[in-house]
Amino acid sequence: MHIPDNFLSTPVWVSMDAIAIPAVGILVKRASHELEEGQVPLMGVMGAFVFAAQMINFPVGVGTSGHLLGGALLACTLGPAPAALVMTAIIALQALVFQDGGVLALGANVFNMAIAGVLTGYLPFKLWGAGKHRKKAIFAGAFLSVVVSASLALSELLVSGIRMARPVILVSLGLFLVSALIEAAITLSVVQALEKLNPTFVQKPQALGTRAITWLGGAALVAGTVGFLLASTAPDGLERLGIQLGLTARTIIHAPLADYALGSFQSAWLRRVTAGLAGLILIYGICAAAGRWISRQRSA
Amino acid sequence: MTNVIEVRNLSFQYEDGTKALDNVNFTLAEGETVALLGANGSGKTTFILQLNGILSGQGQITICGLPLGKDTLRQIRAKIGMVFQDSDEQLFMPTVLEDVAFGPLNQGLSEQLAVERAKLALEQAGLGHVLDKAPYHLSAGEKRRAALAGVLAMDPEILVLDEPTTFLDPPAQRNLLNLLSNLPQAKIIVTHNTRFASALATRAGFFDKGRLVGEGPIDEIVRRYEWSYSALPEAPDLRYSAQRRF
Amino acid sequence: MHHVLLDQWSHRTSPLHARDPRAKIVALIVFLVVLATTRAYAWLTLGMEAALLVAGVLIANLPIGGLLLRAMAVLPFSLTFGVVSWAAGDHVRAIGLVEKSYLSTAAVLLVIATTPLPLLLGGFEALGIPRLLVLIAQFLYRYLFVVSEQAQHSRLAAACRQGNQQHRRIRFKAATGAVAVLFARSYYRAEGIHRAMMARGFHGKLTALKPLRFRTSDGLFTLAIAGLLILVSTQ
Repeated sequence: MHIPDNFLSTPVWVSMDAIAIPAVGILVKRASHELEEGQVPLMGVMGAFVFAAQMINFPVGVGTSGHLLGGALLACTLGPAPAALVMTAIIALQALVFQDGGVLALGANVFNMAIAGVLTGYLPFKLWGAGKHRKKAIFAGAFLSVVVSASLALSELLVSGIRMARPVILVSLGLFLVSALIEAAITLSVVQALEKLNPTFVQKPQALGTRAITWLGGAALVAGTVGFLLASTAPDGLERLGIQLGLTARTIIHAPLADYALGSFQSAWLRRVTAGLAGLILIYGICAAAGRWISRQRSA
Repeated sequence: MTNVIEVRNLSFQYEDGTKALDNVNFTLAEGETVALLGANGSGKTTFILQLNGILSGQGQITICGLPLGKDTLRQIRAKIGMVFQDSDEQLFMPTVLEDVAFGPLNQGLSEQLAVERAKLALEQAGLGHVLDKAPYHLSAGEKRRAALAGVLAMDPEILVLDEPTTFLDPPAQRNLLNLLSNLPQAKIIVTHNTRFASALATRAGFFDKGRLVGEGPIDEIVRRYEWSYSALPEAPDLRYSAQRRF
Repeated sequence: MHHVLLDQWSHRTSPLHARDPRAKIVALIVFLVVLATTRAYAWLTLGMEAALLVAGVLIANLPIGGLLLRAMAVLPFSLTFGVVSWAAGDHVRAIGLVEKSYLSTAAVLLVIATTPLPLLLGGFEALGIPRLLVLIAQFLYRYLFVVSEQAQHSRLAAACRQGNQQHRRIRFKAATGAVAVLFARSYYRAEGIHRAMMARGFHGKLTALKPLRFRTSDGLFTLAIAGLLILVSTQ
């Protein structure tokens, strides 16, 4: 599910970076309120745990084995914002150290798995984890987290213009459902084992409380469902949609620069890459300024 | 001889009520080395964690004349240097130098001074050549000495070592022994390795179920509680029973 | 293990190893963006981009075969999607996918193999990545080696005990146990780290040394790479 570089089209990976960077910034602000720096070692070590846990084989069928992905498990044990940050760190290190997933595509991968995946994984647990439907909530959360991250990834690929024949798409969706079931089974089984080892390992969510996370989780779920539906529509319709989105994104990125000399460059390539770089720098600048503005608001 | 550690009536219970320490009285004189012996779970580690306030129980603890309390924690933690059993838990920074500089930086020293102190401590521990290495590249013995350097860099007056010979092969143990015997600080060594302890300590305390049940010259304590490896009982003859099965 | 080898490579010395991590990060991003916007059939451009990478590997004193081999890790994904795209009629995309994803993987590998990860993370922090995230990644990397060794031991132990175990249920339960135990050990390890931090005077903020110094040579390096890339791509 880690999308490498050069799979997504420029408008798509730029947009995903533009969405993910502020989202991570918000999660960092949120987590900084919940945690002190003294808990950073715990988060780091738990990240290392997920890496290692992903290596353990779970027999699930004839000759096949599944692996834990860990987003929902982290959410139930560390809480949603810390879990999302740990997953972000994991995905970043997977991209850098293991070349599993691209660097420019980090925005997409982080959004799909660390943000949407973790938050949707937490949502059912937050709503029903304190009652008698706890087990079903954990199972549903883990299931949804995989379905949402995988369908978002698939939609991003399709919107980027990767043509996949209808049967291929359907097979992929089928595989997602199977992985989701595996993740759900493993997550539930591990959470139960953890509770036996030490009940404090797993959180006891309060039904009321932080609405922001619930909203974010809900939004992620909706986004993921839309992605799922997008992915299953006919490729033709999707391509048309992709072209529309691509054109829109290109216009948005180009608009402020159109008046400048850049627009008069002969080379179409140069225009594209400059726009891409300028877009990145613009996003970086906006995020830095926004970050400073937010922190000034907080301390006011 | 002044006492650098004075513990009076120290008791401590875990959350579930089990008594981990029961009315312990203990003193450590300046420059003295004391070994703490006892079975696993007898309270030795729990006891030393009280000395720098990581755990807090009931009773009075005075370190270098300072009564242990919330307001004196920082000063006391600079006076007691603790080396834990798992060196990997102690060396948590990316490089050895950064890790050893952690203590001095927390004491408020400037970056330059902290690095100087760290380099000195590493030289003292014989690790001047591994400054930029990551902790996971060191051998067990090197890790132990790096952890010790991290503590020495804070210029403590007391050293507390929890099972320092764990994972160390004989040469590494000898190395550590040499290093420790040349350090002037008062020391507490929690260990099962009575030979190591005897080489460094003059006095020993014996813990049993949270109580300090015996104190005295180390040889006497070892003898009294049959705490040396030569006290192992005769192994039963398994040869006959093995033949019968196979 | 992969990360062990990369860690070793990153501690060698070469002109590339000596560059400030920020310079390398910026150069990498420029390279990746240029590559991403290069057309699939622009053979000359792609060839020159590849040559730039090869030059980098040689300057960095790294085994060229080993590095190029490791970059092939992305091929299973790109070939699969390449085949899918080709089958759906999009030949251009199929080829572009395979060749460009390979080159971008090699580029990232080159930067990782010439920069110790903690230093790279420091570079990211200096470029604006939130400190909390960088710290988490730093601790994660530090304990990755320890925990993955533990996991390997667990797998070995389980294999020794299970050998011929056919019952899926039992093996599933055993794997669950292994994960749960790994979790617990990691959790208690984190507690130990916290205790060690407190014992050495930690009182709220994780102190850190700031060893990064951006020199003129680093600036020249970045400008040179960026300039070269732009030149290469206007062919």
